Amino acid sequence: MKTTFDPRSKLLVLVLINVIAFTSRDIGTEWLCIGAVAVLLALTGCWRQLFRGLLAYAVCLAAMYLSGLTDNFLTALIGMLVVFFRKMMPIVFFASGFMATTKVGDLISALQSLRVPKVIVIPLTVTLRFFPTLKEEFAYIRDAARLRGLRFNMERILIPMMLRCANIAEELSAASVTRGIERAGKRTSMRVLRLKLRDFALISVFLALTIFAVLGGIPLFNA
Amino acid sequence: MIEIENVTFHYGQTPEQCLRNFSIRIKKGECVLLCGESGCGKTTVTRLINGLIPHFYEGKFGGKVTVAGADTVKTRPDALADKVGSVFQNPRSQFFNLDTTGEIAFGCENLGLPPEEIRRRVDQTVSELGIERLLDRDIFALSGGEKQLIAVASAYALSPDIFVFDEPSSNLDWSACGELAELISRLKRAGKTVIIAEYRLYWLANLIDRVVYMKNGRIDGDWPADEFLSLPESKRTALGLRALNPDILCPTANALKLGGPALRVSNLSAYYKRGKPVLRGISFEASEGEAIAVLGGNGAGKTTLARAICGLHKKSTGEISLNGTRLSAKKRAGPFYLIMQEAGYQLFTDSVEKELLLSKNKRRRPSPEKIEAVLESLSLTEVRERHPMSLSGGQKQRTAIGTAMTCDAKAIIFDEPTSGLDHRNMRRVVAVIERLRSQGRTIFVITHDYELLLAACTRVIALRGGEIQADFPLTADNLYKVKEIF
Repeated sequence: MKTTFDPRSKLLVLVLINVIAFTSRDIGTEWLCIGAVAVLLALTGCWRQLFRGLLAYAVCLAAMYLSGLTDNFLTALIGMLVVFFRKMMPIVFFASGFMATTKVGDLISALQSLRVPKVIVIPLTVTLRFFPTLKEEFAYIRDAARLRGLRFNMERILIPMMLRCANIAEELSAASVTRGIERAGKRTSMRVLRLKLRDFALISVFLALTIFAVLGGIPLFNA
Repeated sequence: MIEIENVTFHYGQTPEQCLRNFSIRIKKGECVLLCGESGCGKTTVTRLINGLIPHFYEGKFGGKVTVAGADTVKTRPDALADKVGSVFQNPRSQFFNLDTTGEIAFGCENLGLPPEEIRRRVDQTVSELGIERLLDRDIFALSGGEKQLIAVASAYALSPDIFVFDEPSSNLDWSACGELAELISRLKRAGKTVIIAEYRLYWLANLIDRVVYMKNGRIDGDWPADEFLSLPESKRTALGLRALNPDILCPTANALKLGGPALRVSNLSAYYKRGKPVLRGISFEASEGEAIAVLGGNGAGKTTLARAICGLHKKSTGEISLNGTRLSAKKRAGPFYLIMQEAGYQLFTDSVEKELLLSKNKRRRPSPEKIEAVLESLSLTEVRERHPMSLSGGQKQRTAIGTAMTCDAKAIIFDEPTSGLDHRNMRRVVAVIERLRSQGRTIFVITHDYELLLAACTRVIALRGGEIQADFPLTADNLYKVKEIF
């Protein structure tokens, strides 16, 4: 049985994880945070995101260890980059689960109930909806380039992408205009959002972790 | 229900008028087909009805449009949303949500209906339209036909009295057209007024009450359906319309074949990351000058076959050889060429001429004489300097065909080359295919278009579940086999 959480509590947790990632100095707090996110993804049934995230984190740890073995400028530089990526991992890890479990409609109503203005909400959600489309478009253009034996670089993609995205954007806006997206009044949502006990539990866990991180984490693990 | 009086309109900066003194009255409950050649203004009429003109598409507008009692110039499109439901041509670009249920509820949410009312409307919509199976699905995983059904449902949930369809069948196969027709007949039974701008007519023959034929932005014919359906074939062709009754058509492509088998595909299989192979043990031979139709329903493996032949599908096994030489996947791109359904993907430069000159090997640049000849034969000479963005769909397609010709492709695969094309433009595609054949190239045509199939192809390969189900020459005697597949 998959557990679902209110998008608002997920948004808050996303903010908290950002705070943790930027304040924690020790790897112990980071591990606790990764662990908590892993449990959360398992509860919400995001097995693929869970597996990929843990694998990526393990790769970061291994790379960090390897770059520590030798001592020269290049490996130090790589090491620094890897540490940067590793620190970002809890955010990416959580965001992948967030994207997979949050419906566009729910996100819109969550943001609206938080009084985020419509001029921000609509473009933001359109952008989210555009990602899968962009992925499809990229695949087609890559095929077209390969057919001609052309190397696939940013400059090459530009014209076909422009041709396609201009069309899609116009058609998409026309379709949403005929469905009343421009109406001025308050928008409603099919699903009523309600914070439940589990949302408070989720927030408490990450709030505790944040306080822990801000206070200095586990001194034993200082790295 | 709908009154359009003396409307003139032209888009933005374009000088030519798209509608000239256009007037029409449509009664409640009527099902009207708007037809005519590309550029006749039928899509523009649908935009008058749903208020996109003059509110979304800007231009010079004159006249008066009244829809369900509202003057569309004075009414904002969001106030028309529950009066007119719109379904557009491209199933890929009319969704805002990523899940089907959210999409059906989308319009109601925008209009601020209470949550329990929205849930009731979603339930009612899916049960009345008979699409329960499509609830709670990922929209990106649906077929084009299923996406169109969701688009209808999303409009239906707002319970408008009027529905406008703008070329809804462009990306649909034969059976998906049937499902859409079934849905439209439900709308009719519910007393809705339905206006459909379309170029493919056969699937609507039993639905429509009235046919309006447009030419150069004016009405050039207005018949009750039964009268229109009894027009002679010659009159229909003269109007530039597609077939109404495909059953009476015969194969007309010349059976020219140059020499023996040149292209040999043996035991071709293709896979995706997980699961069953999408293609299994495909083997066939093809001669120069043959035109082979590749048929099959959604998921039969047509597109994968095209990509595998061109060496674009990485996970594939089997051998492909040209004139006895086996070609690896990498070497196949070039000699084998694919003309995509949306040719916009294939244009990489800022003019038609540069596009033809663009080649991976600078020393093997095509000669100026050759470029001239290609431009000439595809009637692109006049637009040689133009940016691909400013070309029409047909011109983009011909430019892509031109690149195949300059890189000396031996086999060219067309993926749905005639979707959205009227009779005249379809004939143009047929003529290009004939020319390519006479130059000794082998042509494959992936298509759902029965008219194109009969006009352009000499042989049929039918796929089913990733295997070849049938492979036969296309002759009048074999026509019954084609009908079994469609």
